[in-house]
Amino acid sequence: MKNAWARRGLQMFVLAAVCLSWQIVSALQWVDPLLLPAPAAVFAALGELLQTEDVLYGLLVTGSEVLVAMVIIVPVAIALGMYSVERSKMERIFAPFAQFGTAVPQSIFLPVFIFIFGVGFLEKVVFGATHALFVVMLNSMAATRSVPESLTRTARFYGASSFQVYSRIYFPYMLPVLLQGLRLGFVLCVTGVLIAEMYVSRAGIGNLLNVWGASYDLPRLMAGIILVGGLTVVFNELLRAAEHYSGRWRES
Amino acid sequence: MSGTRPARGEADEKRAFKPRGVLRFFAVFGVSLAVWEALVRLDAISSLVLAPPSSIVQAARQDGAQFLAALGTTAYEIFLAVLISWGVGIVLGLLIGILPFVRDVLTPLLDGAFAIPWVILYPLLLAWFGIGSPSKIAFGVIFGVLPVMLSTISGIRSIEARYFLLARSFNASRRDTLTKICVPLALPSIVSGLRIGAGLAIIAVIVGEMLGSTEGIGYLIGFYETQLYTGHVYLGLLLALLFALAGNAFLGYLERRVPKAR
Repeated sequence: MKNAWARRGLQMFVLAAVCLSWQIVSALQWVDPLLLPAPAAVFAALGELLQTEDVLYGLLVTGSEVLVAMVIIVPVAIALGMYSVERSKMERIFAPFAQFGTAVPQSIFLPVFIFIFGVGFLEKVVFGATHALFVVMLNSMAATRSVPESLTRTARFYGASSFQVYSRIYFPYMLPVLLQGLRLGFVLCVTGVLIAEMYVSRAGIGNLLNVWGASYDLPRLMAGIILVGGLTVVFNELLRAAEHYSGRWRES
Repeated sequence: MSGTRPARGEADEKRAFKPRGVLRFFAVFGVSLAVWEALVRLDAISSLVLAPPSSIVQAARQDGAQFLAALGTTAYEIFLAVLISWGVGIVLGLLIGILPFVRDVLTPLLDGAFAIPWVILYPLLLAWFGIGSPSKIAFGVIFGVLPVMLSTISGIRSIEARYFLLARSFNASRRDTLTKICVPLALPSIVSGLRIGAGLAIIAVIVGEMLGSTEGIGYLIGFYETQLYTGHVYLGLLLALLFALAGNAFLGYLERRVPKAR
């Protein structure tokens, strides 16, 4: 336990050292301050951004695009994954399809999504959802495979209902792997939505980052990068904690 | 995940390469091309949404040279991005991996960094490196370097302690431990990291070109999209897709050639 705290402390120290070297580089003016603003300026801009209505609205737009995409695609992907493993004939069709889906660089197909859905909320949602689809589906397949058949058979032999089998055996076995898939899917979904926003859009935080970059407003741009990066890291760590917590029963 | 129900394995893959499978593939391919063309000709799908094969061929005849030149630029950027991310990733991964203390401190940070949507750095890279090739190469490296690093580290971490004990009992130098124990035993993991890293770098370079540039295949796709030249857009997409899949297949082949850990 003490070791874990020491490790946390050292990690904080590493981050502080990065900030410190950044401060030193910009204080000594090794780099044009126009290109590398001082940390103080960036953090001041960050505080200002958090009070700007446009920025909060941009975060809201991007956040709701990601949320809607995940809410739509995650149940579909999980169901497809479970179904394909349970009906093992289907797995032969679905598994290569999903593997191929993860190998295809979906991001470059953005123009097709724009041709179909136009530019706007729907296009971002669909584009983000396709980014998450395959990874969640593959994890759902792995999760379903990790359910021991001996347990489900025994349960059914003793007269357990389908609901009981799914809630008492499938759910606890699948949850940690599903949460891992959800986490990976979330990261890919955010990336997809941001790419779509940075490519063409009128709203969202990706659009704002583009605007700040194009106008060489680097303090705001770097503050925005820290803001978006920080938010995704926080969400990722929350999901990781849930994943760890849900798998804890296995260890005992 | 090792499960109770095994995933479909190599047997299925091998079966796909039988001549009959190839024949069937071409038959399906030909029929879908015909259906595709027919759907657009009959106005079931607008040609503004999906360009028919004939207009893709026409685009290739008209501006094929331009697309090939753009592909050359993209290939050059990808080549450098992959090379740099492999080199930097392996060196950093080995450095972090062989020092257990540094590894324990840094690995969670790197894992957390994996969650950051790195695309947000692109406007910054454009501001720093300009609109030319360097910003795309840097973007590719940012995507490519982390998987190489992480899998190098995890490859070394998974080496059993007895090998290090062996090295120490033979009084092996640090260098010998690195070249004779760490690298060969971690090799399969490193190579799979190289494949993932290269795959991401390829996508990143093309996406970077789409987001802001004046040359390359990604730029052409974006340029012709604003002109609503769907045939040209789909030609560019097909070329980019083939490029990425070919790269992926080649790297997968390399990965299979590397002998498994003993």
